[in-house]
Order: sequence, then structure tokens, then C-alpha cells
Amino acid sequence: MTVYFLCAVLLTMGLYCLVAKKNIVKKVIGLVIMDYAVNLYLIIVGYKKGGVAPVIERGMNSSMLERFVDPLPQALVLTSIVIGLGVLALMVAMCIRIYERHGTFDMSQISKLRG
Amino acid sequence: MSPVPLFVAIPLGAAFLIPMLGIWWKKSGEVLAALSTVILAVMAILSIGSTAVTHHMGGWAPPVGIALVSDGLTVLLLIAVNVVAFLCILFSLKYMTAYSGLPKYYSLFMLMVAGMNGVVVSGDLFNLYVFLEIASIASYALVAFGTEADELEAGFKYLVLGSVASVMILFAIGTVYAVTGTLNMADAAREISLRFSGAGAMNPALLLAAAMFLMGFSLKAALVPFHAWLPDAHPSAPAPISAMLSGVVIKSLGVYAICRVFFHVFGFDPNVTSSVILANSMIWLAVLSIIIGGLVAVGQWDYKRLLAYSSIGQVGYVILGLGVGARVLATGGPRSLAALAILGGLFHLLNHAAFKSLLFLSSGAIQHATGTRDMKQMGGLRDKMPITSATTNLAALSISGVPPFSGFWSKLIILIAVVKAEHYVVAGIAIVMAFVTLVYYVKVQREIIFGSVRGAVEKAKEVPAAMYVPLIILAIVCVGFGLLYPVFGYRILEPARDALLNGAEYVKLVLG
Amino acid sequence: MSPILIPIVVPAIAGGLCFLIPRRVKYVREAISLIALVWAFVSTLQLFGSWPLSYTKDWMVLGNFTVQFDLLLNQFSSFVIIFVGLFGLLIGLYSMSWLSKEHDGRRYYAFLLWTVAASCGAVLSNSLLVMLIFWEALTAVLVFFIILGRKKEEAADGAAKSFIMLGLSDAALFMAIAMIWMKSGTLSMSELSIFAGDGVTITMYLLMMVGAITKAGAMPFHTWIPAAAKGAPTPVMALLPASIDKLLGIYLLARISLDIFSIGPGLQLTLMIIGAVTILGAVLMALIQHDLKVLLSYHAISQVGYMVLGVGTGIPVGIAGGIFHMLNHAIYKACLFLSAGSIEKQTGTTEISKLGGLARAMPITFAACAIAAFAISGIPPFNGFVSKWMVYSGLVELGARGFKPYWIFLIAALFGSALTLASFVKVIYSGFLGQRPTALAKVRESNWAMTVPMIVLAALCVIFGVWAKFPIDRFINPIVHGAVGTSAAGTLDIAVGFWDPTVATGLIIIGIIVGLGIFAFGKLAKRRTGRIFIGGTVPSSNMDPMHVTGTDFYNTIRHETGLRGLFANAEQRIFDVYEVGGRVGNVFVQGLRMLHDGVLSTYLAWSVIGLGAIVFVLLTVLLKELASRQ
Repeated sequence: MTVYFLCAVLLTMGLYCLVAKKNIVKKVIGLVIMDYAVNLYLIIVGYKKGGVAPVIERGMNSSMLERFVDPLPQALVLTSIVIGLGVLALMVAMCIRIYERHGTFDMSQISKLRG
Repeated sequence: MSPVPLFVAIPLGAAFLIPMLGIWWKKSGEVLAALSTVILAVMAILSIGSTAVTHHMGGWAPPVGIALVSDGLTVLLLIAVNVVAFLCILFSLKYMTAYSGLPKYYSLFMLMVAGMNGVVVSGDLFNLYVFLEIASIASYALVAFGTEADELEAGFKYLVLGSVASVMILFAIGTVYAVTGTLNMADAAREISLRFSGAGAMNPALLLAAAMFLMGFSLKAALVPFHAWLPDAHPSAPAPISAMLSGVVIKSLGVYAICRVFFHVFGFDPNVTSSVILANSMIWLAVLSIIIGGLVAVGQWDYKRLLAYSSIGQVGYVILGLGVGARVLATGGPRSLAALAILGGLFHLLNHAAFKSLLFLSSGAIQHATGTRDMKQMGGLRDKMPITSATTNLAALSISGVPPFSGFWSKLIILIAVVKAEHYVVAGIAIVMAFVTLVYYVKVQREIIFGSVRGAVEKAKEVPAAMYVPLIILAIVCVGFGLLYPVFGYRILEPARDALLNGAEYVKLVLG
Repeated sequence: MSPILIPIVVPAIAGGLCFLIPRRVKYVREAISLIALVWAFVSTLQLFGSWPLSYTKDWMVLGNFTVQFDLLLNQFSSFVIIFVGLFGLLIGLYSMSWLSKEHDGRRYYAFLLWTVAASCGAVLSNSLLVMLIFWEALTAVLVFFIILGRKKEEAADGAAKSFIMLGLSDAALFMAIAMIWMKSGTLSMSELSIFAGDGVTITMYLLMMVGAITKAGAMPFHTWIPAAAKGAPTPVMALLPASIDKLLGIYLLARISLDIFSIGPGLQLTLMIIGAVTILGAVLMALIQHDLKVLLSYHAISQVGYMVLGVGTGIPVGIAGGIFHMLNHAIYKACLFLSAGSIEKQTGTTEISKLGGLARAMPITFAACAIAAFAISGIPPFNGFVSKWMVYSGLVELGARGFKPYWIFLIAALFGSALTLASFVKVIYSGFLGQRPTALAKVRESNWAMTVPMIVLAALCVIFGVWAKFPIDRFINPIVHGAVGTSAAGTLDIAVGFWDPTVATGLIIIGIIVGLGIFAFGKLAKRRTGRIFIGGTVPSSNMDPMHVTGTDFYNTIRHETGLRGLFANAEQRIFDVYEVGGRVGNVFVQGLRMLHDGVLSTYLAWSVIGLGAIVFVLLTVLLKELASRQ
């Protein structure tokens, strides 16, 4: 339970960073923290205390199968990391362009579109 | 072989081929995109009335394997997405010549289509998430495609808010997996209904997941208070992309996902107390969207921004219909009433896809001809651009609910259902805001189309045929859906309604 | 095809054809329109007397809910569609000559035919929902009709204002229909009978009333009519706001007040107050107008007051007077607008100050205009007198039944009539009499296509005045009896109330004297302040030195203490619900726009708060659940 709670704390930290920080790079970092909080959460969901890697070998009996950690969340996390990477790359590229166009990293000043 | 995987495979293939061929062949984007969207649109139209099917990827049966599911709701969305995509590509052929990097544009466009088609056909939650991200990333990039100051600002806002939504959705998916032990939507639905039917409320983890799903998908659907990215992002994108974003992206990523996840996975079971609250939250979000989207639209002078706010309000109507249907189901009311409400919502979804893409495309045509989208600098457009003006007028009449055009009927059905479900205050608000919709479209007509020729319109000329043909087709759809609903409209809408109404059918369809 | 469908379907299809025929093919289009209009009119005549005739068809089947296309011909609707058909036909004929090359005839005839179709549909429908659909369609057609005017900016403004105000009234109607439906479970007008006693029913009635009187143009929802008049083609004004909108609006008002609802004295008083205020307010505004079309449009509002007042009395003779006045008004106001159109066609302007001395050049127009002007002012033996007199009798009888303040309304009605006369003296004088400006030397009478409709309408003014018993017995009495349910005594009432010679003559003479007095008052004032004789300055440009215009006849009234403030406010549109509503709405809109401040953190905060709210709501359920389990 504690780990889930810590996961939620990590998520909230990311969210706080995203909302409260003005600097565009810090916002990106906040988003990445959130992303990793969720990845962590997925891993924890599949984790078993004393679990082993889910690889079937010759001569395994059913009690061994019981001890496997759930492989599915790990696959999900891998995919999620890839997606996260894509988003991060796009975000960073946009940050560079924004700095070129607006001359600032302060997101609170980049508010021309309003109303 | 079932054509369902092709809806993802064709655009995905095109998206990869276009930039590669683009190195040697300048026109690769136009040709491949047009070709693949034509095929997709025809396939989507042909799938009207087809029986619901499940396609097992790689021959693995669900819940172990990945399933692609095509039922009535999927067909409805496939038609909307692919037909609008085809018309937007057609419009892009001339409109986008002003931009550079065209292979990238078409590639991203096809990626977005692939993502949307993937979302509507995927049968498990994680695939839904992956396709949702594909479509979202493509649309973030397309919003910022102009790479000017405004586009970048809008794109970044869209990106950050959209990513927060994605994180929440992934969190919720993880939680659903933790509780039910499966990612397949049908399997999860069966698990949830077995465990919680008659057990009072769902367990807290699942409720938290429901809340996060609702937040995430509402943000993608731009419901108030999660709407703030839309009025920035939609006007900043190139016009065909605005048309896609407002016409179908918010619907397939937002509304469709809400439908699928809440009607099918969570289910509005009268034996589960929390489902009423979920339905109520949907109605609240819808009412807020209708009010705020409508009122803020009145104050806009940027044509595209006005249209964007209008989208918020109209999606509110869609969700209102669905939410009222959900509430009737959740309270154990008459199913026929729920059916009516859901039908209204879906009908409005389809109509909105038609007239909002028409309006955004017309905004593109107007911007192309006059060089501005500031309504203060326009006037008397109907003397200079008769076709664009006539189609815009038609769409404006349709969206503001003037009979006999399509928007009137869908709003009428929603309102009938809302009144029958005895939400009188909501009905009153919906009627008043339908009037406000009329007000801001009268403003559009007054400032842009009617009056004497002035400002930027003086030098305007009618756009070339490649740009006005999509407008005319969409205008015919706007009129046709209104008058010919009894002839063919029901063939698209009623299967979709039944699919939403009978969650158990979906489970049976997927798991056999 | 059922004969009841002909007045709807034939013009609708013909309108579609006209819309598709290319713009240059003039004669085919006009032939199609005239054939369709004649066909529709003849079929309405044939339908007369064949009630009750109904037609029901499922229109849209949505699960277990069906939108039924439900038509019912009864006495009232039969009578109204005859005149809808007649006005459609006359104005179709008139437009053939009136439309110039600059006008878009393709759209014009399509809209004209659709107007007739939608009006017949709205009147014939027995289901409130079907009526609403036709009603709203008519609003949309009107808006696109106004746009066809040649003064584009004015036309666009008028169209926008009309669309918004009529749209609001349609929304009110929709809300009322929804409430009726939820309360009584049916939309069929013939089955509905609601007593407007408690808050909900009174709200329903008031909402429907707003819908009806906005269409008819009673205060305070009248301002779209003058706005439309500024830009719309003149025959359109004659067709819609002057005649068909009156027929429809008062038809609905009568249906809801007599048929669908039974209203108490409170609501009747409300109607009467609306009527009286409309009569006086609009006629005062009419006095100071200097554009013929706008002036006529204010009279079109003012006369609605008599109809609302008549219906509001709740006395058979008063109701009959109100409905008869609706018919009469449609006739003479259409005639007036058509003569204004004739003047506009020949002189190119409707500015009163630029007109003068046209009587000799345009004798038929002058005669028609004069007859209609006398009719609207309530001078015997024209039709306006009869119906106004019936309204007065209704008021007097209301007084006899113990409603003491009846004389306030009576005086308002009489005074309004006097002011109307005064206003039309100005029109007749400055338009047709006096010196003709040199610019208008070559003006000639309009051709037959334009004069025939005017002659027909002017003849109707006389016929319905002199032989008023015919239309009253044939059209009006059966409706009132059917609705109010009076027996033979009711007939007697009307017959007695109808001719009460001494009082009648007395009141009329008073009216005429007051009217002439106001005219003289204005004239004297005009002599005192004549601009032309101001020493040394050049008289205002392009105006004939010898041409005395009637424009400022009543400027003295405008500057009178007491009225001055009223006029000043009216000109600043303080009384315009459109303007006031717009200003109030704008506060909300700008407030909400301020909230969207463009800062990403704000938007993120909204999302987080929204998420928090959803979680909170869902978890409270859970807590409640847990608490109840323990």
C-alpha cells in the first residue's frame, strides 16, 4: 500500500511542478515525472513479493508458475516509455522553437492566445 | 478476410511510405494520402449495415490475444472519420500549397487517421491508449505545423494538457488491470459486472479509475473545465486540420472513448449506486460545456476561434444526450427513453462532424481568399464567393438548429429525451443555449457573409474547385441528414445506438 | 394527395424549382410561381367549409417516439390560409414588375413560395411541434428575404436583428411546448385544454404569448420590424411583417388565449396592457419617422396593439374585433406597403422629405394609399373602423361587466387612432400633395402588375368596411363562437355592439378632430421654425427651394416636455429588448472571456480542479455507501 501511496505522491509532485512552475523546461520535467510515476505504478501492479522472471524453462512445476511476476504490465511499460519518449522529443523540439519565436522560457508570458 | 485491420493498416502504411518516397517523389504525399483516404472512405461507407465482427490479431482469441472489434458504434465513427478525412485531404491539395514540408504534413495526417481508426476498432484498453497517443502526437505536431509564434504556443498548450490527460488515462488503465486482471474491454466488462452488480458501489480503486478516465477523455473531447486547449489549438492549425480536429478528433478520441469505456466497460448498471453519479457527472460536464462554450463564442471576433468555442458547446450537446441516456439506464428507467437520448447524442455527433468540418474548411477557404480571419475586416462575402458563402450559410443554419436542416433534428431529439427524462432545468438551459448558438452564427452571417463588400473581401475571389467541392459535399450531407433521416440515417445510427444500449451484446461479440 | 396538403406542398415544390432554375430564366420562373400561387390560393378557397379535415402521417420514427405530421383544417385555420394564399398571390403578381434587374429573382420567388408553404403549414398543423418547425422555418426564410434588399448594410442589420429576436421568441415557444408536453403528455392542439391558474401554466402561457406577439410585433418585442423595414425589399415588408406575420402571430395568440389555455382576468389584463402600450408607444414613434417604410412599420406595430387588446378583453365582440382587425390590418397595411413600393419603384426613394405632389402622376397609387390610410386611421366606412369599433365595444362591455378602469384602455385606443390619422395626414400630404420636387418631374404611374394588387386590396378595404357583416358572419363569428362557446346570445351581442350609431359617430368625430388638431399644431410650429428663411445660410442642399416637406411636421411633439425624455430614450434604444439584452449578455460574455487568460498554468489548474471535483463526487458516494452499510 505504501508504494502505491508513494507513487501517488510522485504523480502529484509532477502535477504540482507542471502547474506551479513557469519555466517551460520545468514544465517538461514535471510531465516526465508524471509519466514515470505512472510507469512505476504499472510495474508495481504486476509485482509480486519474491517473484521471479516469467520465463518458462524445462522442468518447471506449477508452484514456480505461481511465483512469476505478471509480464503484461512490463510490456505495457515498455510501450509507454516509447510513447513517452516520442512525446518528450516533440515537446523539447517545440520548446526550442518557442524560445526562438518568443525569446523566453516563461510560459506565463506566452499567453497571446486568450479570451 | 475481415476489412477491420485495414482501417489501421492502410493509413499507417501510407504514413510510413509518404516521407520515404518523398525523398525522390515530390508528390508522394498528395497521391498516397488521397488514394488511401478514398479507399478508406469507400470501405467505411460500404461497412454500413454490416454485421458486427471481431477480428483476432494473429489468430489469438481474446482475452489473451488482441482483438479488433467492429460493431455499430465503430462503424458510425469510421464513417465520420474517414469521410471527413477524405474531404480534408481533397481540400488540402490546393490549400496546403502555401506551406512547405508537405510530405511531413500528409504523413502526420495519415498517422492521425490511423490513430483515430485504431482507437475506434481496438478491443482492448491498452491498444486504445496507444492509438490515442498516436493520434494525439500527430495532432500536436499538426497544430504547430506552421511553426509561427501562435501555432507553437497553441501546440505546446495542447501538448501539455493532452499529455496530462494521457497520463491519467494510462493510470486508470493500470488500475482497471489491477482490479480485473485483464485489459480486454469485454473481459473487463464481464469481470466488473460479475463482481459489482448488486454489491452497491464499486470499489474505490475502480471509482478512482473511472474519475481519471472521465477526466482524460473529457479533456480529449474538450468538455469544460478541460476545454482550454481547444480554442487555441483548433484555430492555429491549418484549416483542414482544424476541420479534422473539431470534426472528428475530439469525437473519436473523446466522445467515442467515453462511450466505450463507460457504457461498455463500467456499464450503467442500476444495481451499482455509483453509476448514477457517473452519469450525473457526464450531464454536469455537458451542461457546463454548453453554457461556457456558447457564451464565450458570442464574444469572439476571430472566425476560427468562434468556431472552436462553438465546438465545445456542441460536443456538450452530444455528451448531454449520452449522459441523459446513461442516467436513465443507471436509474433503471425505460430503455426506450435511454435509446432516444443516446440516438440524439449520436445523431448530433454525426451532424456536428459534418457541419463543423464544413465550417472550418470554409474558414480556410475564406482565409485563403481574403488573407484574414478577423471578422471585423470582412463583409459582403456572398457577392464575391457565392459557393463558399452559400455552404457556410447552410452549415450555420444547420448548427444553429433551424429546421429542416440536420442540426435541428438532432437537437430536437436530445431535447425531447431530456424533457422526457424530467431534467427540466437542463432542458431549459439547452433551449436557451440553442438560441445563443443562433446568436453567434447570426453574428458570423452578419459580419462575414451579408452586408456590403468591405475590407479584405474586396479583392477576394472564389476558391478553386478542389476547395469548394468538399464544401458542397458536406453541405449536401447537412441537408440530407435532416430530410432523409427516415431513408438512410437510421441505418447508421440505430446499430450504434443498440451497441451502446446493450453492453452484454458487446461482451458476447468479443468473447464469443 | 390529400387536398389539405396542396397549399403546403405545391408552393414548397415550386419554390424548390424556382431556386434551382438559373437566375436569367425570368419568365419560366414567374410562370411557375404564379401558377403555384394561384393553385395554392384556389385550393385554400376550395378547402373553405370542408372542415374538419385532418391528415396524419408518421414523419420520423425514433424508437417508440414518433414525430407525427399532423394537420387539421378547422374554421380558423381555413380562414387564415385563404388570406395567406391571397397575399402570396397578390405580392407575387406585384413583384413581377417591382423586381428590378439588381434583385435576385431566383431567390426572391423561391423564398416567396416557401413563405406561403411554411405559413400554411404553421396554420394548418395540429401538432404543436409541427407548427414550431414551420414557424422556425418561416423565421429563417424571412431573414434571407430581408437580405435581398438593395441597401446591403441596412438589410444585413435588419436581418440579423430579426433573426435574433424571432429566434428568441422561437426558443420561448419551444420551451412552452416542452412544458405543455411534459404537463399534458400530448402535443395535439385539438386535445389540449389547460387552465392557466398556477405558476407553471401561467409561465407556459406567457412563453407562448411571447412567441406569438414577437411574430406579430407587439411591444416590447417589436423592434425587429423597423430594423427590417430599413433594408428589406418593400414587397417583402408587405408580405411578411405587414400581413402574414400578423395573421400567424394573432392566429397563435387567439388559439392559445381562447382554445388551448383558458386564461384568467390577470392574464387578460396583461394582454390589454401590452395592447394599449403598443398602440400608443409605436404610434408616437411613427409620428417622428421620415422614411416611409419605417413609418409604416411603426404603424404595423401600433395596430397589433388593437388586436392584442381585442383578444385580451375576453368579450366575444372584442375578440371578434381583434381577429377582424388582424385581417383588416393585413389588408390595408399590405396595400400601404405596396403603394410605398410603387413610389419607391418610380421615384427611387422612400424618404418622405424627397417626395411630394405625386397624386397627379400616380393617381391609382394615391387612391389606394389614401383609402388604406383612412382605413388604418379608423375612418368610416372603411374596414379599419369596423374592427376598431368592435374592439371599443368590447372594452365598453368589459366596463359594463364591472371592470372599472376600462376607460383607460378605451382612451388609449382612441388616442392611438387619432395619432394614426395625424401621422397619415403627414404621409398623404408630403407624399402626394403639395409641390412636386423637380427631381420627380418625370414620375409615372406603375404598370398593371403593380396596380392590380393595390386595387384589389383597396377594394377589400372598402368592401369589408361597407359590407362588414359578410366577413364577420362568414369568417369571424364562427371562430369566436367555437372558441368562447357562446350561444345565439353571442351573435346578438356582436350585432348590437357592432352598430351603436350615436356613440360611434361621436367618438369618431372626436378622433378626427384630435387628429386634425395635432396636424394643425405641427403645421403652426413648422411655420415658426422654417429653416429656409434663416438669413444668410444656404438651404440644405439638393432640396427644392419651394418644396415644403412634411418630414418635421411633428417635431414639436418630439420637443414637448414629458415626451421629450421618452423620445430621447427611445432613440437611444433604451426600450429595445434586443439592445438591452445584448448589453446584459455582453457582461457575462466578457467576464467569461477574461477567465480564459491564455496562461497554461491556469488551464492546468482548471483541469486539476475538475479532476478533483469528479473524484470528490464519486468518493462521497462511496463514503455514503459505507456509512449506510454500517
